[in-house]
Amino acid sequence: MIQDNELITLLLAIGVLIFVLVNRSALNKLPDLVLLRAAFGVLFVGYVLTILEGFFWGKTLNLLEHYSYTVSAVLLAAWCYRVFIRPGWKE
Amino acid sequence: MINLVSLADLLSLIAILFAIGFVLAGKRRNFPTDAVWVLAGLLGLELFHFASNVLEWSGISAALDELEDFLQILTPMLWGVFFYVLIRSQQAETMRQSEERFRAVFENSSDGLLLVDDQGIVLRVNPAAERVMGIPATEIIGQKSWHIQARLPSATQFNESFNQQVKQSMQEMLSTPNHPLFHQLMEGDMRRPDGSVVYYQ
Repeated sequence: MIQDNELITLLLAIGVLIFVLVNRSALNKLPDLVLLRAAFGVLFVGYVLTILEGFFWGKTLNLLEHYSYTVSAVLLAAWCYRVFIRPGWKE
Repeated sequence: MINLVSLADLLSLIAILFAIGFVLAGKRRNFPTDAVWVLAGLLGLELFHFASNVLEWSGISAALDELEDFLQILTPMLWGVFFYVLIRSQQAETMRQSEERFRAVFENSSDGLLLVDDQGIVLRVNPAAERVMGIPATEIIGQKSWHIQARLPSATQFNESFNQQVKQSMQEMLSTPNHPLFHQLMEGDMRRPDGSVVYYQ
C-alpha cells in the first residue's frame, strides 16, 4: 500500500533531482560534490523503493530502502568530514 | 529486538551523529553560514527520522512514527534548499573573486581608466586617471563624464562648439553599442586645472 506522504516525498525529490540536473554546471564547482550528489541520489533510490515495496517484494524492497538511507547517511557524513574536518578547503 | 531493518537505521543514526559531530567540530571553517544552518536542519531531520525508525523497527515504540511520516516530507525540500544555498554561495564567491580581479587590474593599471554608467556618470576612477587629469577622484566620481571633459579643455582646439561636440560624441557612444568611436584611436591634448598641458592617446 502506498502512503500519501511517501508519494509526496518522492514527487518533491523528483523536483530536487531536476533542479540538481539543471544546475549541474554550477554545482560542479562545489567541493567534493560527488559525495553530496551520491548521498542525494541514493536517498532518491530509497524513496523510489518505498513506493515499489507497495506493489511487490515488500520485505526485500523495504530492507533495500532502509539500506539506501544508510548509504545516503554515510555518504553525507563523509561529505561533512571532507568539508568541515579535512584540511585544505578554502583555508 | 534487532533485525536487519533496525540495524540499517541504527547505522544511519550513527552516521548522522558523526556528520553532526563533523559540522560542530569544524564550525569555524570558512563555510557559508546560511548553508550551515540549512545543513543543521537537514541533519536534525535525518536524526529524528532514523531515531524514530530504530525505535519502530526494533519494536520499542512507534509513538514517533506519525510525526516522522509528516516530517519525512521536509527532507527532500531541505535537500533542495541546501543545493540552492550552496549554488548561491558559490555564485557570490565567484562574483567576489571576479570583482577583486577587476579592482586589482583597474586600480593598478598605468593607463588612466574611468568607469562610466549608461547615463555618462563616472562611477569609478583609477589613480592613473587622477594623475593624468590632475583632478582628485572625489571631484570626478558622480559627475557626468563630459563635465569632467569640460574641465580639461584642449590647449590647441578648445572652444565651446568643440566642447559640445565632445559631449554629443560621448552621449552617442553611451547609447550605441559597438559605436565606431570605441574602436578608434583618439589623440589630443588637455590643459589640467593647474595649467599644465598633457597629451593623451
